[in-house]
Formats: sequence, C-alpha cells, structure tokens
Amino acid sequence: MNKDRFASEIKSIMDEEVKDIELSQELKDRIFKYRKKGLKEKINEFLNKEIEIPLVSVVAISSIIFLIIALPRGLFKIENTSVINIGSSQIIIRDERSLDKND
Amino acid sequence: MIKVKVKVKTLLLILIGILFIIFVIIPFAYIELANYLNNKYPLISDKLYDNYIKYPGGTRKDEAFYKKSQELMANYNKYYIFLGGKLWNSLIDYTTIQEVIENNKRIINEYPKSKYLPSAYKAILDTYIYVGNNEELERWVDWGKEQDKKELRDISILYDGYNHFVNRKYNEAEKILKDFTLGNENLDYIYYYLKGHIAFAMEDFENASYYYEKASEVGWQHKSNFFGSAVPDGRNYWLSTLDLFKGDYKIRGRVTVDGVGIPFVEVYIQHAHMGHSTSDNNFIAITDKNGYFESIGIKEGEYDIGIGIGSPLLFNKVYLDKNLHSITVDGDEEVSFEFTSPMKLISPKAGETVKDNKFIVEWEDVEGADYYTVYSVAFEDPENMKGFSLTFGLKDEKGEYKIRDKRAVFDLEILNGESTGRVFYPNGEGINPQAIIGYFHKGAEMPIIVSAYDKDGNKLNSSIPQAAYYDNVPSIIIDNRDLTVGEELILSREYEKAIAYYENLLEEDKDNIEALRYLSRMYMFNWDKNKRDIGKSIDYAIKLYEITGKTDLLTEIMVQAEADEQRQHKELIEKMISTVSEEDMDELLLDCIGAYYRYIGELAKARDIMAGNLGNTLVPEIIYIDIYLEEFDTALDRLKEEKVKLPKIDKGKLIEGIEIIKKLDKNKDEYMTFKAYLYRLISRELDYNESYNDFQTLYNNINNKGIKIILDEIRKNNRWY
Repeated sequence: MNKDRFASEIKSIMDEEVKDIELSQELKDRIFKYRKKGLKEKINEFLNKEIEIPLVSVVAISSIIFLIIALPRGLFKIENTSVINIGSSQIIIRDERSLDKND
Repeated sequence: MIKVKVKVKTLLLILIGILFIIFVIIPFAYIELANYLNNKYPLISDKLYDNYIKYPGGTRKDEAFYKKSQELMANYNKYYIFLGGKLWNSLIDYTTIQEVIENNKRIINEYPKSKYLPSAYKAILDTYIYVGNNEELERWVDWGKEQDKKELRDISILYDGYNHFVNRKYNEAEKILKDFTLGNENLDYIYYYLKGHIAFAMEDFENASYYYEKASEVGWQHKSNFFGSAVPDGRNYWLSTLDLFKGDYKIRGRVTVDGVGIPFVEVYIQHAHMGHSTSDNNFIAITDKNGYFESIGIKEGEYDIGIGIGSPLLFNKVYLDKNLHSITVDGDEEVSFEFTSPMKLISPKAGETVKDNKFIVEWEDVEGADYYTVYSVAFEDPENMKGFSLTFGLKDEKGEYKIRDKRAVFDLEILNGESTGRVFYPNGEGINPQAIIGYFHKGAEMPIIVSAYDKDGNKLNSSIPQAAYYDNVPSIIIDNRDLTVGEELILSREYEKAIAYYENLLEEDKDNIEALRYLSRMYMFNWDKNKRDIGKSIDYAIKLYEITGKTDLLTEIMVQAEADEQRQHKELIEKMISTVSEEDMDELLLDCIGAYYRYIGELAKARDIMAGNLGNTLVPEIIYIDIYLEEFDTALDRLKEEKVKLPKIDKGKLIEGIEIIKKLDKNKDEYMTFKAYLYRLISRELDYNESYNDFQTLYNNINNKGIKIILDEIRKNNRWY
C-alpha cells in the first residue's frame, strides 16, 4: 500500500515538473520517424503502397498465362477420319496416314 | 509506355480473383459445359473432359473419367455378320477399349468414395464382355465379390450369373442370382433381363416373357447398356413372334479368331432373303468361353444366321466368308464363323508409284487355296478417295480373274478398258468420268487386295481385314502417262466438249481407238440428261471391235442396254452378232445375246444359246421357255440332273408343278393366261414394278395347283415377298 502511494506521489511530482515543457513539431516528427513500427502497421503500409505498372506488359503476360493454363486445348482439332468400304471390309482413313506412308 | 498506378492491395485482390477464376471457375465451366454438350456434340464434350482431367484443379475428376468413358462406350455397337450380308454402325479399336478400361480403373483406384464407383466397375465388366475377354471378366467378378460396398457385390453377382448363363450352366446361374438383392433401380432391370435370358435358353418362353416384362416395368436410364450390349428393349416383342422360328432342331457352331474360341458373341436368326435387322433383340444363343454356341430349338426352314461381335475383335482380322447365303434347317445344323489374321502381300507396298503401264502383285501362299483374286477399289473421286466406292476384281494381263499362281501382272490399259463401277448422278444428270476413262489414271491411288479361295468359293484368307486403318493397306499410285486432251475434258466433266473433240478426231483418223472407246462409253451412259444413245454406242463399239478384236465394250453395252433399247436397235445388234467371230464370243457376250433373243421373242434360239453356255448353274428362264414352248419333258430332264443347281428356286417344287401342268388341258383359259404371262416375263416386256403387279394379278386369279407352284417359285426367284 505504501508502495502505491509512493508511485502516485512520484507521478504527480513528474507531472508538475514537465507541465510547462512543450515539444516542437520537428521533434515530434523525429520521434515518430525513429520509433519501431508494428507488423500490422508495416503490412498496412505495404498494402496501401502505390506502385506503377506498365499496362501493356501486364495485360500481355496475364493473357499468355490465361491462354496456357485456362483455355481448352485441341477443342476444335478433331481428327478427320472417314470410313470406306473395301469389299465387305471397313477401312478407316485418317489424317496422319501420309506420315506412316513415308516411314 | 502506358503505366497505371495501383495500390498493392488492389493488385493482390485482382490476382486472387484471377486465381479463383483459373482454379475454380474455369474447371467448373469445363465440366458443366462438357456435361451440357454431352448429347449434342460428343466430340467437343470429349475434348472438354480431357482438358478437365489434365487441368490443375477441379474436384470432379472421377465424374470426368466416368462420363468420358460413357461417351466412348456409347459406340459399343455390335458388328453384325450374317451369311447373307454384314451390318455395322461404328468401329471401335483396342485403343478406345484401353482408354475406357483405364479411366474406370482410375476411378476405382483413386476415388474409392466416388458415387461413380459402382458404374465404373460395371463399365469394366461390360467392356470385357464386349471384347470377349472371359479371363478378365472372371477376375473382376471375383474382385467385386470381395468388396464391402453392397452395390459392387450385387453387380458382381449379376455378371457372374451372366457368365454362367453363357456357359449354359443355367441352374448355377439361377443359384448365384439368389444372392442378389432387389431394390436398386440401376440394377433391377438387369436382374430381370438375365432371369429372362436364362428362362429363354431353357425354352421356358412364358417365364422369359414374364421377366422381360418385369424389366420393362422397372425401366432404365437412357443410353444404358449391360453385358456389353445395348438394352434389348424389343426382346419381349420379338419373343411374341418366336412361333415363326420355334421348333425342335438345334443350330450349333463356334466363333473363332485364329482358331481360338471367342466368348459372349450373340447369334441371331432371320428368315432367309428378308434383309437384316441391326437390333440386339433377337439372339438365339450366345457363345460360351470356348466360343461354342447352341441355339434354342428351331423349326424347319431356310434361315440366314448371323453373329453380333464387338468391332475391336475385327481389327486386323479377316472374316472367312462362306460361299453360302443361308442355311436350310431340316435337322440339327452346324454353322461356324471363323476369323483369321490377314495374309501378306509381298508387292505392292502402301502407296507404291506405278510408272509403267504394268504392275506386279505378289503374295504369300495360302494353304489349301484353289485360286486367288486380286481386287481394287473404285472411288468416285480416286485422287482423294472420297465419294462412293466399289470393290471389283482385276483381270490380269492374260485376262484371268481367278489366278492360280502367287503373282500376277496387270496392264493399266486393259484395266481401264474394263467395265467397273459407276455412279449415276440424280435426275439423269450425268455419270462419273471414271466410268468412261477408267479408274487407273494419273494421280489416282488404287488399293490392292488379294483374297484366297478354296475350290468351292469359300474365302480362306485375304490381305484386307474386316476392319483396319488404311495406313498400311497396299496401294498403287498411278503415274504412267499424262492424260490426253480428251481425257482431261472428260475428267472435268465437260462431256459435250469431249464428244466434239473425239468426233473431230475421228474425222481425221477414223480408226482412233481412244476416240471410239470413249465415244461409245459416253453414249452408252446417260452422260447428261437424255443424251444416252445406245445405237451410236453400238456403232462405235463395232468399229472398235473390227480394229482391236476385243469384245469387252460390246458386252458392256449389251449388259447396259434395257430390253426396250435392244428391241429398238435390233438391226445394229444383229450386225454386231454377225460381225463378232465365233472364237471372240465369250460366255458373257453369249449370255447377253441369249437375253437379246428373249427380248425380241425368239425364245427357242434364246434358250439354245443360254443352255449351251451354262456350266452346272441353270438359269430359270431356260425352264420358263421350256414350259412356254410346252417342252415339259425337256424341262423335267434338265431339273432332274443332280449336278445342275438352280439358285433361289426349289427344283423339287418346280418338278411337281411341271408334272401337274403337263397333264393340263392346254386350251383352258387359266393355262392360256399363264402362258401369256410367261411370255411377258421371259421377254421382259414390263418394267420391274409393272412385272410385279402383273404377277400379283395373275397369282390372285389362278386356281390350278401346278401353275400356282410354278408361280410360287417365280415369286421366290424374284424375291416378290
């Protein structure tokens, strides 16, 4: 209990001593500048940071990524085959036949 | 360069949005779009499923695997081979089968909690039945028995039951089915069908009908299939018509590929000469694990028998066609269907260029072969192998179709001089150019096929399988000479200009062989509306014969000319007959001349020519003429000769009819009417439809038993059912 009273006395003495002291704006700014920032503050600062990006490059890169990953492949590349009757047999003629022939 | 200022948090939001689209929205769109297009555009849907499966994202891969394989399985149609003909819908090769199996195996292995798991399991079993793989079927049936999931065990029971049913172990099949639990609408109809099949095989048709009806009551989803076949939803109706077939005689046989029996092949029966049905409803037997089958009891009669087999089995296998179009059941019968690996052609290879007028075809020996025939294929558009196609035998340089050696030499000029396939465009608007100049001209690719036959005309092997990819089919590409000006005109279908060109050519050189041949052919065919002129055609062909001594074109004209046209150009045909020397008269031309005499009413002359020109096969018209000329004993003698065959006609019945009318009063109205009808029939005074009506009118007004019997045989011969 005596300890608490002592602390409050010290505090009131300190308040009395410094009540007429005023910090200049410049000093305030310096203190702010050199104080240690919190993580949340850092993140907020980063998120609100404005960056400049080249529009054409971004659109081009996005489109390429989209084309590579997202667009369906071979959707309209349907193998062109036809079936012919040779006697009573059915023979399938397909596009890559000429490749085989050159083998 | 344009630059935009953007806050990092905005940029991050955009990136998250893009990733969400790429990994969530797009895969979702793929699979939903694939499902939506499934029925309308299966090929596009198939590609979308493929993309979805490979896509880095998506939580419905099992659905894509299953639905993709269902699309492939939608083509699990049977390839129907009857003695009298073949029918097919679509061809599936083993690559597709492998894909179906792999897709469904991945569902089983990678998605054990998938709702598609039972269907994937069933798809695997169906596929192994479709390709006749008994061992794999049994292995997977055993796998199903060990599973915790009840639906898997029920599927296993059904397919185990089916396997016992096809092996004719009907009681065991019934016993297995006792463990099946009804109550799953996806399986109950299969259970009832199988119960129906078992009852049918045991000839308990009443019960079979009951179970088929039950299956229909339960119903099934669109595009369902089971036991490697489409749902035989018309089977109960077919069963109601079974009295047409049902009897005491069994048809037994075997289906083999390279001597190995093929299981799960359905065997069908139809009345002979009645066309063919493509349904899976009417099987009378299914082959067991060794490829053997045994039908239900069949009644006496003439039938066409056929099989329904999965098309992958036909890839690179030759079906050994028998020289038989139907079977006559008058006791237990045996019929087998055999496939073998194709014989090899030594020459030519695929796409071999022919720079000379001649080319050689050489092949490996086939054991037991009596002769070989070399075929090629005529395409409407030979450069691109498109349009109609017709397979035809090639005469070698010695003029032989039946080749007894293992090699033959062919002359392009001879081949182009032959009559082959042709296509007449609708409304009489011309003919394909190759019908005039031949198919073996510069730039054309002609497949070459060799088939081996025994002495009875049964196929022993062939270089062309029942189904194959064209890639390695031997063929020749013609590059022997440039086309002439006239040929270029014909090929571009400028027939009028071609005719003017060749007629001018004849004025300069009256013996120009090319001009005579092409002019004759152009006038023979209706190269443009109403431009056919058989008279001019015969005239040019006679001149060509006088120069070359070849009768091919004359024969072709006689085959092409209608009876009316031949009567109209009697003088020219008589001139032709007197011009052609006896030694140049071949069998076909003599046949045509015999027909000509029929058309002009000189029946005795016609008969003598036809009868003198025959081997062991009798032409019915000869008998009709005998009857018309009232030379009944001559007709009877011909018919009683055992070695003489009369296709499509029952000789015994005809003899019975002739014996009756022999005793008939020849002045009776009924006989006179019949005789007048016979004349119209023999001399082909009427066209096909008029002739049919003429027959019907007469048939309905005739009472005499003998005449009726003869008319019945005439009906059979003309297929007027």
